[in-house]
Amino acid sequence: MDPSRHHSEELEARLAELHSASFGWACSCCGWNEADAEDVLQTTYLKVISGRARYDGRSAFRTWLFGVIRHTAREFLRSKRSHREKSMILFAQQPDDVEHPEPTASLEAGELAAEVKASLSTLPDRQREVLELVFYQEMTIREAADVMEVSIGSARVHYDRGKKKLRALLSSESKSEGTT
Amino acid sequence: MSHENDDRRIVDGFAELRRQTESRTPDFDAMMAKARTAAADVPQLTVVVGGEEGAAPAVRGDVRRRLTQAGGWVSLATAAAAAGLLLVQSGGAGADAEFEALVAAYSASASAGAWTSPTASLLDVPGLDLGSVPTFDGVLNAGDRSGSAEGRES
Repeated sequence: MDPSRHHSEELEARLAELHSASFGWACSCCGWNEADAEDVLQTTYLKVISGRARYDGRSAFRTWLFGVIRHTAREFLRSKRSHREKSMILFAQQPDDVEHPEPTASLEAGELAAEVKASLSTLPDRQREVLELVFYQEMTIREAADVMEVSIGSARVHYDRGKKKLRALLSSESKSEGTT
Repeated sequence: MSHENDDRRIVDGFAELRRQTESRTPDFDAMMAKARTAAADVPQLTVVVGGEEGAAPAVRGDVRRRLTQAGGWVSLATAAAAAGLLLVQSGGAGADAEFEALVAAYSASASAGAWTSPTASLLDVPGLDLGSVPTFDGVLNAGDRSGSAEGRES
């Protein structure tokens, strides 16, 4: 068998195995906008199969892939923001705050997932990222630090602060639900 | 509410979120097919490595990266050489030589005592020599001396 073909088949098998988790991480990187996440994930796969992103084996495959998704999402959102700013100038309108909605904006009644999602959107990026990697992707803080390209100490600080804030947000929401 | 309960809510919330997202995950094969189509549309610099056709995409990407880097270095070297050449030509070598010649000429004339003040011409007033009064003492004395000599001789 052609070694390059074997290599690409093996690569695709690994991507397929992580596809669902990758989509979750792409959603997380795109503020839970699933359409954007799909574009980001497709661009990531394009990078991988075209050799623009190469796995060199220095970290776990999942850690590397999540890093590529994270970079791709940043590029995508930066480009999207730039397009939006241009159209704002064109139509002389004020930008809508779609990046950080209020905690209650997307809250669906009685859904804990929606509460978590809404609360996460109010956290600083690093805190949100480390919590999503640890709780959603079930990574260790060290693995999360590798994906985020920060030191483990820094990741731990973001984790502690983020968790404390998330705890407080969920607690206050559950109390307000209890009173209504 | 205790921390344990809050943490339980966080864990449960994320688990529920994961279930929701997983149920809406797009089909992998469809996404890969789109990615493959997009990859085919992207123009690639085909480099045959070691005479072997159809090198792996990773190898082609690597070669392309190296070529780009080499191109960058060549452009940088060309720009540096051009800048150096311009500096030498417009530069300073000619200007320095001219300045040194001027300094040498000035030093030579100063050492020869040829230096004159720029305001020296103001002292040359016409008729200044008329200000001096002629004396007759010298002439009379000269006449006396010549007369007595003549007398003695006669």
